[in-house]
Amino acid sequence: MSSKYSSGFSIEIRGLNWQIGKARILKDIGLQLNKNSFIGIIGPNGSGKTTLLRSISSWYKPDAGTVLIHGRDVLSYTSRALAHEMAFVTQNARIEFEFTAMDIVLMGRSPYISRFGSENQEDIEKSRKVMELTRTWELRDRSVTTLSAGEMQRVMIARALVQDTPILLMDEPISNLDINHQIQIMDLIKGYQRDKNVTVVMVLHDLNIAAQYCEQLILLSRGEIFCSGEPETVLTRDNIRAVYGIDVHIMENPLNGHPMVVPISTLGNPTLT
Amino acid sequence: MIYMHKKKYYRKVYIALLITLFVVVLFSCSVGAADLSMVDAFKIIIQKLPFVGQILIEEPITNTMVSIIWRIRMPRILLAGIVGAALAFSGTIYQGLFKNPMAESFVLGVSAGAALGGAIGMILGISRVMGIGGTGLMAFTGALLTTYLVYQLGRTGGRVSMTSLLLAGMAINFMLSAAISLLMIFNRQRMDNIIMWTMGSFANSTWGKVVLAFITVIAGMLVTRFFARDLNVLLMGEEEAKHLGIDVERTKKILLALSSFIAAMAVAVSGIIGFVGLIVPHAIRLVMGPDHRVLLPYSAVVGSIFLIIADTMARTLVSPLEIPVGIITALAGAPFFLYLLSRKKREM
Repeated sequence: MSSKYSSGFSIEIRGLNWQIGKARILKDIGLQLNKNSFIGIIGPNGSGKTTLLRSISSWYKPDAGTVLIHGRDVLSYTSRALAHEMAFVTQNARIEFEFTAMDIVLMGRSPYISRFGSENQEDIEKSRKVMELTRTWELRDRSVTTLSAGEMQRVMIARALVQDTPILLMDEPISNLDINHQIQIMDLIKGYQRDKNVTVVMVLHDLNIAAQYCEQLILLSRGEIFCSGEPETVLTRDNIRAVYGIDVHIMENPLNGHPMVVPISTLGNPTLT
Repeated sequence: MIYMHKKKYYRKVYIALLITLFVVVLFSCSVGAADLSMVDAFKIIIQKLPFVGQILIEEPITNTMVSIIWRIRMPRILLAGIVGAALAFSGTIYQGLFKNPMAESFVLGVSAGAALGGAIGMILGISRVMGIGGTGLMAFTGALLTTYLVYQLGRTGGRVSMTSLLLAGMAINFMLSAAISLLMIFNRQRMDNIIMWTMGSFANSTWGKVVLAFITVIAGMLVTRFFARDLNVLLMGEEEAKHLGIDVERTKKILLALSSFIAAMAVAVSGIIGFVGLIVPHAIRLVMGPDHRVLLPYSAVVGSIFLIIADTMARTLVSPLEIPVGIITALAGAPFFLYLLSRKKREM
């Protein structure tokens, strides 16, 4: 899959600026993201996480700077060619039309189907495989309007995986889910990322989830990269105080050694008072 | 079950619908001021088939019967069928593009533009061009110009927001309606004609119109067929559609142009007939699901059947008087619209 790109970065961003009117949402972003890595974008609300992801996906066209996907300007791709390179999962997708779950997953194959053709046996077989992987195969004949949030998110992930792309972009794929579903979905994506050697770039809210699953974190603050690197170097007490404006206690996760962030209430310890 | 697995079933139902359409055409041929049987109608149609017709049906049929069926009723029925198909088909495209079951063929001002064009045509007395009268030609031009204007108004930079389009369409509709009222006040002697025309009628159907409408509408439909899967993907939302490989802006532009062209053609040959483009696509979606590979062809056939029946009622209910067919479709359509509304309310 990603073997056709033997060298260079998966995604490279140079001098990216994006503004609405006079508000500068992204300021001079520069990044180089390695292939086959799991990257988390974190930062407070309004720090530009989603805008950055949408600039990478080319949905937003930057005012200045370039985004290179496998060494080529993202804006120079046709939609169809780009859909062979990256798939996108949005947060809380809702579909109001009564397609079945499998209809939706099959749409992930549309970048490969000619205008004059329709899904072939291979498309159907690939869809079945990712649906089994994402445990959505048993939902295949259900209308997506009847699915729970967790089920829906798994269907959307299945649709992204069946696109067979070396890059997966995900905008808070777990933010509306219960912890059991959060872990299921993160495990699923992590497992897939390792097996298929793809690059995952994910916007995340939950710092502990980010620390546990990501190899590299990018911490955004007011449209700028505050710092980036391994979770241990990014998730420090000072960084979080500077960006989020709260005090935290950082401890080592006893199970896996990743940093764990425990926010400290400004009331001291409210359960004792 | 996915589309590919249900293809056989879809085909069977479609054939059943086509047979229904044929029976409805026969039935409609046989009713009217001069009473004919469906068998006679059938014989006359067969006899008119090229090459085999004369061999299959040898018995002589009176010239008056042939004339009534072939000169008067057939063009009218076929035109109603083509217009019904065109309106339902373009309504399906609009509903898909706007992701809104309340959208219909006329949302972008096709009807108001056509009405204004038609009214100007009548007042200036423009004569016939290419099988459709000057009124029809002016209506067609008015419809396309209006859609183009609405499209330009709804555009911001490189992207077209469907909400702005909808709002621009409404605003232009109001403005043009006011212009039409103004025109009528200054041209009172033509008021009746204009009002009758805007309500839609097939009373002036000719074979020329049938051929012209058939060729153009079918051509538009065939091109649209290749965008049916894109329409499905667009229902996911524009951003998602882009990531699924759709060139969103280009696809929207092509589909808007196709549906406006098809609707404008229908309006040019028949006047403004409402509700067909609203209720038929919606009803088909309720029964068959949202896949446009099914919705588009099914809507066309059912729209055809619906409008032929409506027009048959229009010319026979209070014969020898005619009710404008738009009144019949509105009478049947409005309750359906209210039913949709009540369903929406329950969901909220």
